[in-house]
Amino acid sequence: MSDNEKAADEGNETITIRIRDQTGEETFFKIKKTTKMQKVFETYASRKGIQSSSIRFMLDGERILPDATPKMLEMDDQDQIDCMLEQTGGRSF
Amino acid sequence: MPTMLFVDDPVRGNPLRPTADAIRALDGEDWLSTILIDHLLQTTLKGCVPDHVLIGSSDCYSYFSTYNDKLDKHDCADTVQTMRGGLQAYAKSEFRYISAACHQGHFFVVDVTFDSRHPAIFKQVNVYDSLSITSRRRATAVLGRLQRFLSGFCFHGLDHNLLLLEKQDYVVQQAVFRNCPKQNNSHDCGLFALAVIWHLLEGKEIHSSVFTQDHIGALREALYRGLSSNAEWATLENVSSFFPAFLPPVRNEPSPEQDGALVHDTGPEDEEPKEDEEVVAETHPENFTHNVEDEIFERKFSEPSQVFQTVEELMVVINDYQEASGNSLAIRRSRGSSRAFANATGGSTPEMNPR
Repeated sequence: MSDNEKAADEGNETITIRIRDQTGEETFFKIKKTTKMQKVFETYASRKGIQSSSIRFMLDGERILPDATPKMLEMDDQDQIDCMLEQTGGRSF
Repeated sequence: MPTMLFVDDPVRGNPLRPTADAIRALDGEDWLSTILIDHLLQTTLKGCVPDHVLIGSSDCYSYFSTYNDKLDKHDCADTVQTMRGGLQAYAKSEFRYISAACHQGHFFVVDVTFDSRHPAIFKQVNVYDSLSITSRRRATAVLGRLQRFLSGFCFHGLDHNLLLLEKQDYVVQQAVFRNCPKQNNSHDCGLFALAVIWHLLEGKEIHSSVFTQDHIGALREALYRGLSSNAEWATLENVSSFFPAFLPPVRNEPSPEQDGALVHDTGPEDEEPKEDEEVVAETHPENFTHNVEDEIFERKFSEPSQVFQTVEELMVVINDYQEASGNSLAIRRSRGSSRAFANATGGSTPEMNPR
């Protein structure tokens, strides 16, 4: 296999990642290692009926940039992303 | 500065963009969202926060809960190990953690100074809550989770950590609920929390009348006008006009002197700048005191960090101002400093003096 083919092969490699919300519910996504996380976030949010900018997506305690890819984040198969939905506050006692 | 951010620190982290709905909530009596509050912390405090001060996300309760849960799970061992590696830097010196924490529909401020090298670990634990009838339960829930997070991740394996592991309510016992301004409605706690943080960072003592519901009401209206028209509106300079005797903290930016400035040290005053020079003049509102209110002047010159690339650009604005106001304006070189400042001439015109 030539280097080019190897590179192409790596790009096509798919992994399954899990997005876990605060209730512990997990949603699975099968994606290429070169897919931008934005795409995953948008899909997840629309499935939940909310806007992706009202959710924080975190990997190992750090917020994930929408432009990042699993490859850049060094994610492996079955890795878990934690998500936190924004809350609101006001309070009348 | 440690490389891993502490609790998704909004001031040092990547931009957070509130949704249009979250901004619209400012118009009226809706509750505000954590991402909006973090966005406001981010836009107002960027560059103003000293290295030892950590601003945590308003979603800190969710954050602590999410990651504390992983401490006991075998299948999360990799995540826990990675995070311990990044967070152990917060055990190496004293840090002050401040957050507009949101829990059970209420924002309040926690202000905790910790140092793992000190036997007592916590130097001060303060809570500022804008509800007049304060429930301690919300704050103690957040503080308890902070303690678990510190002991499980940041201080893991250190001697003094034993104290945190053995006495699970240790931080709660030290919490002091401080006197602070109170909200008289059911929707402004997020902005009260923000205003408390702004005052704390400025080193101001917080007491019950350091600002009032009226200031917060005006701030809310202005934030809505600003954010719904121009996302860059929220800066501490703008915000500070809503609070009595409030001065913005000094930014950690390079001083204007280093930027190459309108005028150099040596020239005599009132000499015209050479036109072929590369010229950058910044008007920093905090560099000036205004003796007279002048709306036109404010509009033209008090934009935060307004930068003129050339003398011509500056002159265009000066000419505009002169035509609009009927005042005349001169550029004066300052002695011993290359900071440029404009000085209006004539009777009741605004006068700007370097502070």
